[in-house]
Amino acid sequence: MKLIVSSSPHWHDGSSIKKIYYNIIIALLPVVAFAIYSFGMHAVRVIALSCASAMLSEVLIRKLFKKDFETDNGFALLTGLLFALILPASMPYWIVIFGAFLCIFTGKEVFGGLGSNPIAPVLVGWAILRISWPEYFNLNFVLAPYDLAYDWQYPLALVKSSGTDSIATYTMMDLFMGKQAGGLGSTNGLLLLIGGAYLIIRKIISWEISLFFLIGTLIMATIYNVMNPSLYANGLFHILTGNLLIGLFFLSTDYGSSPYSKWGLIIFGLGCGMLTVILRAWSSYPDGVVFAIMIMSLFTPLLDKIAPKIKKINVNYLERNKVL
Amino acid sequence: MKIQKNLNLNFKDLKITELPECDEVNLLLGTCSYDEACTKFKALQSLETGEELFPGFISTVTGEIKSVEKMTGITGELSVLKVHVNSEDKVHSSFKEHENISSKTRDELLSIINKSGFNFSTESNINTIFIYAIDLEPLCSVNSQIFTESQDKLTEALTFIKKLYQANEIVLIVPKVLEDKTKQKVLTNAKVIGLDGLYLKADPAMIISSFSDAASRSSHAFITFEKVLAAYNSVIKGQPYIYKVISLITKNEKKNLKVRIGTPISKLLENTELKDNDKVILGGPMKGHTCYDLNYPVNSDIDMIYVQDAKDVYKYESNQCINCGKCVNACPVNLHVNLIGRFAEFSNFETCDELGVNDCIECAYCSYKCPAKRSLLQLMQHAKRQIALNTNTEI
Repeated sequence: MKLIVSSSPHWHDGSSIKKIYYNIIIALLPVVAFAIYSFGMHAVRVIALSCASAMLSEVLIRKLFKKDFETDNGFALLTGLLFALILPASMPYWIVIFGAFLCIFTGKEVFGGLGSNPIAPVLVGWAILRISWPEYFNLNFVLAPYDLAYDWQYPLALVKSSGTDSIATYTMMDLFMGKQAGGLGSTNGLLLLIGGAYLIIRKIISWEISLFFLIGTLIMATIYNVMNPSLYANGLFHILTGNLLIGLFFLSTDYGSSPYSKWGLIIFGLGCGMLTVILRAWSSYPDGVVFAIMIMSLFTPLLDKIAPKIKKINVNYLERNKVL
Repeated sequence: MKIQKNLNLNFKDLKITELPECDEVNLLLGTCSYDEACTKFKALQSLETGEELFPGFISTVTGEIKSVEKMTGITGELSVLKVHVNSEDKVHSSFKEHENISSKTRDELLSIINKSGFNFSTESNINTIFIYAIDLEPLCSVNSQIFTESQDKLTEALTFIKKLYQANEIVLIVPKVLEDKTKQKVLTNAKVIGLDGLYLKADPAMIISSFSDAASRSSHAFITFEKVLAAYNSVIKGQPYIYKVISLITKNEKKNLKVRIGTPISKLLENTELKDNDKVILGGPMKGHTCYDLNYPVNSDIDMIYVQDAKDVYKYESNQCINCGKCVNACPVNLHVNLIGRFAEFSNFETCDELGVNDCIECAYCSYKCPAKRSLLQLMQHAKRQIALNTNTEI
C-alpha cells in the first residue's frame, strides 16, 4: 500500500486561480448579454475575435518562450473579454486582434506572466491602441452609423466640448440603464453593479477599491462642479458615464497591479477616482478612467509598503515554543 | 477534494475509550543512535514498566526485547526497540505512592517526575505557566475532553504545578463555553482565558503576544493539561507516564482513545480500511506531519491521528504567485508572505530575512488560503532553515 506524504497544511479552502477568473467571467456575462442585445452581431464579432485572439496569443507566446501552457486558467479569456467590453462595436477586426495580442504580450508575458504585471494587461493593450489609432476610439462619431434608440454622441465628449448644457437631455436613469454611447460593456450601470456585487460577495475582489474609487470620483467631481457648474458635470454623471463602472469593479481590481493592504487599497481607490475626474476635466481625452488606473498601478509597490507592522514576538523561536 | 471551511477550535464531548492492549510495541529511543542501541540492548532482555531505557525515555510495557530496528520518522531515521508484551503488567520497583507531597522539595518532585517518562525543565525562573486545556488544532479534542472529565482533580493539579515551579502566574486556557464555570472553580489559583473561533488564536505565539507584560514574556512555559494531570498522578499514585489520549479521526469514526505509549499506529487503524494514496497525519490537519511508516509508535507528542481519504487529499501545485494578497491578509503576524515565498523560491534568503521570515509562527494559514496552491509554509520553513545554516557557518 502506498501512502501519500506531504508538507502541512493538509486542508485547503478550495479556492483556485481557475475559480477566481471564471467567476469574474460569470460576473461579466450579463454585460455581455446586454452588449449583444444592443449591437447584435457587431458585438459578437468584437467579443469573439478578442477572446480568441487573446487565448491564441497566449498559447503562441508561451510556446515561443518555452513555458507551460496555462490558458485553461481563464485569464486569457477574461483579458480578451474585458478588452472587447471597453471597445466600441464599430472597431475594425485588425485592431481587435492586434489589441488582444498586445494585452497578453506587452501587458502580461514580457513581465513574467500571471501576477507579475505592474499594470493590468487590458489597460496596456487599450492604451497603446488608443494613442496609436485615436480615430477608431473617438466614441463621439464611431457609433453614428448604428440604428440606436438613443443619442449616438458620447456624453463625456459632449461635456468636454460644450459644457453641461449639452447633456441636459440625458436623465440619470437613461445613463444607468445603458442608454448612452460608449464601449460595448461599459454603459449599463445596473448590470455592472450586479456583477461587481457578485464578486464582492464571493470575496474575489476587495470592496475597498470599488467604494473608495466611487468616493474619490464624487469628491473630485463635486469640487470641479462647484468651481464651475456650467463647464464641469456633477458627480453622479461622472460615475454613470464612460468606463468608470467597469473600471471600478473589473479593471482596477486586477490582482497583479493593485495593492493588498487595507490602507493601500483605500488610497489606490481614492487616487483612481480623483485622477479620473482630473483627466476628464483637463486632459485631451474625454475619458480618463484607464489612464487613471494605469498611473495609480505604478504606485502599487509603494502602497504595498503601507502594511501593518510585523508583530515581533520578541523571543526567539525555540524560547517561544518552550514546552514542559 | 472535500473543502474544509471550519477551522475553529473544537469542543465536542467525545468520551475517552480505552484501546485493548496489543502484544507488540515499538519504543522510541530518542537521540540514541542505532549502533549505540544495538550494544546497549540485547534480544530477549526483559523490561519492566517504567524502567529507564535512555535518559527521558522509559519502557512503557513489561516484556522482552525482540530486536532493535531502524525506522523512518518525521525528522529522519530513528532507532526503535521492538518489545514483545507480557500479559501481566509489572511496574518497576522504584515507583511508589507519595501521599504527602507538601514535605517534598521541588528538586525531589522534579526528579520523580522526570524518572516517570517526562522531560520537565529544571529551570527555576519560570514566571508564567500557560496550561492548555484546549487543543491547538481543529477536530482535536484531547485536552478539552480530559479537562471536562477530571474537574475533581483540577484544584490539586493547579496547586501542584504552582508549587513545582514557584511560578507567579498560572494561566489556564479553556474553551470559551467553560470559561465562567472554570473561573468559579479555580478562584485565585489561576487566571482563566476562554478561547473559541479560529485555531490560530490558541497558538502559543499568539497567546504570548496578547500578554504585553515583558516579565511574563521573558520567562514562560507551555504545558498541556493532560501532562499536568499525568505528572500529578506520577507523583501521588506512583504511575509512570505510559498512557496517552489521542483523538482518532478516520474516514468513518471520530473518537478519543486512551492508548499505551509505544503502540504502533497501525494497531489504532485496524478498523479503518486504508487504500492507496490515502494520507495518515500525525497531529492535526493544519500543522500535523504525514506518517512515513505505520509502525511508528504513539508518543507523547502526538495528540491526534487523522486519516484523509485519497479523494480528499489536496495537492500542491507549482503555480506562479498571482499576487492576490490573500496570504498577506491572512497572516497573523503581518508578513509579506507572497514576497517571501517568491524570494525563497529563488534562493534569495537574505531578502527573506529582511522581510522578517524568522517571525513566522508557522501556523499554515497562508497555505490554506492560497488560490494558486503554492506550498507557502514549506517555502517559509525552507528559508528559515537556510538562514539558520548560513549564520552558523559564518560564525
